[in-house]
Amino acid sequence: MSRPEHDAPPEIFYGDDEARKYTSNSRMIEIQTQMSERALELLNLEFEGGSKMVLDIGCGSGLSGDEISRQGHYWVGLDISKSMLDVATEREVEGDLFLADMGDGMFFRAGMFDGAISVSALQWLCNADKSWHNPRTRLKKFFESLFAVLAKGARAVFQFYPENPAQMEMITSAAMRCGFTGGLVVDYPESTRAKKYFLVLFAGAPPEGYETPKAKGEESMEEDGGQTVGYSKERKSHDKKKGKRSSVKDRDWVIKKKESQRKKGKDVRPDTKYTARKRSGPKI
Amino acid sequence: MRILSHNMLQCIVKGCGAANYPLRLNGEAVHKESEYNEDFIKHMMSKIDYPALYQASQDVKIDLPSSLPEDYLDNEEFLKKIHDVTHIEEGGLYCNNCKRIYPIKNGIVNMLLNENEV
Repeated sequence: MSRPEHDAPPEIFYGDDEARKYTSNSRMIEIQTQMSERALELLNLEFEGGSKMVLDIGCGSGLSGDEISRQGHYWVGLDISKSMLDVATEREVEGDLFLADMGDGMFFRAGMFDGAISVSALQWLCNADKSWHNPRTRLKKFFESLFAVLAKGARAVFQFYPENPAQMEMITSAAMRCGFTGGLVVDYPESTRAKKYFLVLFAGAPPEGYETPKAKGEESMEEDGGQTVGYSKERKSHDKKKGKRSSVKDRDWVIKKKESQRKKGKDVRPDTKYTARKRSGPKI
Repeated sequence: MRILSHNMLQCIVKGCGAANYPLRLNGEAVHKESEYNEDFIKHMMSKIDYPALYQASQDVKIDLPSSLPEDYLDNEEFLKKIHDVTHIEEGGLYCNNCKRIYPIKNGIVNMLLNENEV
């Protein structure tokens, strides 16, 4: 798997070319949207008391923000790439946009947000792209300031791509040291490609009914199940979707295809009883 | 950037100190339509710092009462005014304390810091 963090700093990597993919490449859009959906599901914003204010860290072109808006909440986003934010502006997203480096710390007043999400951004913090960058201090600054801007008990969900277990440990422990509780959720743990890491954090004590993880001792954490949230059952629904797909190039498929070609104004043969019928006679 | 978002912002330049809020606002207010969401605005009112909001409204010449009306939670006209998304497209934010300027271009606020400010 390629790791863009190794190629260039984020503000360079997500330049105009890369940013454009987030409006034109339907596969990328689909993946980003799916991950945002899942992140919001884990964020579990209570709808009581109406819409909430969410912080989107590494909002990029605003695909995750659209998902927040769709669920009736409000958001503000920050990203280090000017090109990505320009795309977001072009797309007329709902939230306010800030050009900022998450490692510099959050620039909001205390307790302003009811939740925070971040899709595919956190791993960039483990990089030292500038001479004065130190991943550990930047992580500390980030989590410290994030803790402050979240309302008491609010959640923060990060989908990210840890490079190795050491990096995962570095990120998680940095968060725990800043007062967060919570843990890692791994979707599709048995699949190399679909595997997704979500770091689910609570600012302060976790809500009632959620087991408090012990601060030290790996074993005890696993025992009471507080540190890791159970694996999701997404795999099932994933398979179901696959089953729904009609077999390729049967009659329905051909007729649908012809219809869509017609809509594009192309010259298409009319549908007859011969449409998509198998050829008779011997195969040559 | 919305005026409401301005209410959440503070200066994070290293050593700026405790007087890092609120930031002064410079620019022209542009009106944009948005759907009125009563629950949301009431929720936000509990977090808003009204003196800062009033100052911001003075900076960009929007008409708001100088102090929070006592019956503000039932005052729909007032809430609608707050909710009315007034955007700042071009301009800047200015920290009175450390004199740092954060430019606003095309509605995007540039909060990037230099090496010596982190």
